[in-house]
Amino acid sequence: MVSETVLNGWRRWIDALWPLALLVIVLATFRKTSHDSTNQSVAVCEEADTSPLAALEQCLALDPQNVELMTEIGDRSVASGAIDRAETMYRRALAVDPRDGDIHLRLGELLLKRGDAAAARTEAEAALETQPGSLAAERLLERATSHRRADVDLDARRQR
Amino acid sequence: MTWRPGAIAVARALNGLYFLAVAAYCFVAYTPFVYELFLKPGVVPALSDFVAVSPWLFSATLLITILTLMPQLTSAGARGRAVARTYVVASALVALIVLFKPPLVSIGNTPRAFAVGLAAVAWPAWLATVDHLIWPAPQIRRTDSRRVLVACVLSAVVACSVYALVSPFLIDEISGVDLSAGVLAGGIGSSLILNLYAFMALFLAIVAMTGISSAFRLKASAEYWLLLLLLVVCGSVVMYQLVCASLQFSGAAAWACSVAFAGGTASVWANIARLRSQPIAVANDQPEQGARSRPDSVELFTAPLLSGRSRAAAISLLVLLPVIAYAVIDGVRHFDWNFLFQKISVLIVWLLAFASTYALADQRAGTRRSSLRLAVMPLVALALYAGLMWIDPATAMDRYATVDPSLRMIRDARTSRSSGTADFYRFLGSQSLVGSSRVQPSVVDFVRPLRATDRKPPIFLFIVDSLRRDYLSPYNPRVTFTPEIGKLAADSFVFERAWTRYSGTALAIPAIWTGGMVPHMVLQHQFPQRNTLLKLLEANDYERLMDIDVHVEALVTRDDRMVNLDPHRGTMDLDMCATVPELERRLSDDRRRPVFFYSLSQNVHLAVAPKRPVPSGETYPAGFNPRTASSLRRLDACLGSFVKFLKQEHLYDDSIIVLTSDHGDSLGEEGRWGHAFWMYPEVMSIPLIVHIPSRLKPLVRADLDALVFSTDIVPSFYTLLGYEPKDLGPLFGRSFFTPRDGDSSRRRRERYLVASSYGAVYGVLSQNGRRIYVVDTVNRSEYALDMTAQTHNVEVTPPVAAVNRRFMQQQLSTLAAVYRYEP
Repeated sequence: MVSETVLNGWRRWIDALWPLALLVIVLATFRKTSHDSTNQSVAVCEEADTSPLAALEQCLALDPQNVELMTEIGDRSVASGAIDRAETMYRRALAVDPRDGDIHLRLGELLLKRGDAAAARTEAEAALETQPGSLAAERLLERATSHRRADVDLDARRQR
Repeated sequence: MTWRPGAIAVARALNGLYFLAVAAYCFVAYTPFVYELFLKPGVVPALSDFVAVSPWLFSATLLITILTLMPQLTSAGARGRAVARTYVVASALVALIVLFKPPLVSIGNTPRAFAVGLAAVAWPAWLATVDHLIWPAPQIRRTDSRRVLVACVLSAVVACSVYALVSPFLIDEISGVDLSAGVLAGGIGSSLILNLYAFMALFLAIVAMTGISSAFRLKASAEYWLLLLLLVVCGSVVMYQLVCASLQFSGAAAWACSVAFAGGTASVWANIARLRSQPIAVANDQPEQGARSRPDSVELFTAPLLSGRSRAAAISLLVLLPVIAYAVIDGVRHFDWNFLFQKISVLIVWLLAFASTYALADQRAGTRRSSLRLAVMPLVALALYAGLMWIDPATAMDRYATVDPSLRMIRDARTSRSSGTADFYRFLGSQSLVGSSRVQPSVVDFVRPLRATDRKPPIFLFIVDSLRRDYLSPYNPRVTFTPEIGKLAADSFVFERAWTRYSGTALAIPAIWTGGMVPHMVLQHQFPQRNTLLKLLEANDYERLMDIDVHVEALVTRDDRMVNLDPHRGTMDLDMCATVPELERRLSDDRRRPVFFYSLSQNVHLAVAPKRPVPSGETYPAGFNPRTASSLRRLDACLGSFVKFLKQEHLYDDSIIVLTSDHGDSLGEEGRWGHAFWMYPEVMSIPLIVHIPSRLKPLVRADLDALVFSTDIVPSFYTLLGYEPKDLGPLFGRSFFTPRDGDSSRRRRERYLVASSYGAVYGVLSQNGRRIYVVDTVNRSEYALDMTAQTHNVEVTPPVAAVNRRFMQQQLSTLAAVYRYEP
């Protein structure tokens, strides 16, 4: 039979230890539920510059405001002859960042190749707004203007 | 004369405050970062005033202490007489020394500061020993755990309610936070659960202490001493994790300071508790007083705040608590350092809430039974906490945390680190605030050999400390108070996406002079060889008309080609309106040499602008800080008058004029103020307006919407003077002007490293400045922002973190290699 003194001794130790044990649990839970920002699971493409075109398109779906991805896809589309896709990409990029003179230039060149001199001229003017003094933009503007003039002359000759 | 113990307690509180303030000053001075950046330039004038009057305060404190010790000093056989006399003699000697050679004036950033700080905390501890020998210990009884539990639960409710009550007043000065009813409900609920969780941890700690005392059959007074020990431990951890971390002070010395300061505070606390409990101690001596009338150990512990039996005082304190909480936050938020003061104020509110609720909690319970049943409430808190984490109302918590510092403090503490993260943060820490002895001399040149050029236009570099781009009319059509800058901009290149490389002056200014990133150190070592701007000026025999501030002082050599325009002004007193007339006078006097002008005007700095009242009749559109806007209006007029002067003198068309800032500033965005560790757009984005000689305009082009850095300014000077600066890589600047037929793309579509000047906080800027990823090791957080249209958070995912961390590591390693330092 356990004496009352021993029982009281046990009781005292239990009274001392349960708060300690619970305190450890409380602090450990706090630490365990704390967030380490790298422990989340949704992926976003960040290193896309060297990826194949299909991968870039996937990345763009995950990061739909990424102008650099759009530009890269546009450039690669131009290189592969997918002009419509390139134009879509450049226009989408300009919808996000309308003051990107580089893309205005790219789009202008593309439009001029297609023969849309008026639109190319607009793009060249937009490029000059953010890149004052840009010789590339001025040359595009000149070519677009002369191309248009030639078109107008041609039309006039045909009408005559 | 006999002093009442209560009056002596007040005297001891004053004594303790004085010595703890001295210790705090010394420990702060011991950290090179704070000393060089804040104490030396006198950013906080109150600190300089404190240093000046501290010898007299010491004497006054000592005089009051001696008066309170008179009964012991004069009566033979009085308790503690010998030790009191020793204390007084030693203090008098020190007071004499302090009067003739005030130590705080000259301690500087030396080990002496550390030693004086330790001595300062030892002094009140000594006095506490004296008082403990003089005054009898009160008889106390054991603490009732149920009363502690009730007090802790009530404290959580009070703490949450206090900040909920003051939130409508706080939200007025905070912009960019929408507290809808849903957010408010979610925020208050989260705050209640987190406060409850914190107070349950406190409850368990107290009950563990009392349990240990009981298990070892110690006296009730042992409980009290264990509580004081708990205060020292918690105080040390708070000092180290909260205060030292914010001041970039770490290691053994920081722990020593933290423990010493917490120990000193605990000794003052124990002393006041002993004195405040004397009436009870006297009553205990009366035979008719039973054990029930004795205070328990927690009551004795809270005696410095409240007499444990005074319900009226407790209720009054509870009523006043929202007022106290609001007053403290309102008083400190404009110059809060990383929310440090607000977080400290939370600890004070918690302490006051606990003291009041403990006084109000049921005092009838006395018998000690098994306390296992008391575990129910902590378990409920645990369950609520787990539920909250499962729901994870991050948006509500983040938004509500802007008005509830207690929620902010617990939320910020809720960051743990995996071993990979800890290693990475350690790496960033090793690259930050590098000691000068670790940096080897290195050379930076954009052009070598650098010969004089024929093109030497006057150069005026106006850097306005903390000037935000959205406070200037060329960047924000809502601005009505900068018409002169608007006129200058109309005739200049206005760069839309200009960023600073560093969010603090200490590194932003050397980076501008270098034209690139610099070693992350308080004082730039061997700087002349890296000073590409100075090299340019010297090669072309420019006369340098400069305001010499504390940052540029170490960067430039003083010779006959340098003129200090405001030699009698301190850094924080540099005012463009005072500099401009002096500059005009100098320009009128002598024009034999080409002129370069530099100033770092402090007109809109947060330590200066708020002190200048807004003149009557001036009003500003909503959303603008009136004092900053008013200071800017004045600056604008002065700059306008200078441009007019240049035009009159026929210098304007031939001059390069740059108006920019070293960094921006947070002015209440989501509760943030200042620019300590923030890498938010309002801090990192800067104005950059560049006027160039009209004859050069047809020769160059610029992309106004391309990402440019303040480190591009110097390479651009090289270009404008006719040089072709080398591309030194992504850590260095490049000219934002190129020859007209140059490379068509000037966009920076790659990643670029940016940093805080004040700690291991780094960012990666990408997508032509549209996106930033930040690793803040001080607050142990990582965040990404998209600034395409309206700035918003981007989710931080493992691939995003991995890519950006790898880039940071790579760039910092390159920087270390360039400047030849071992992390």
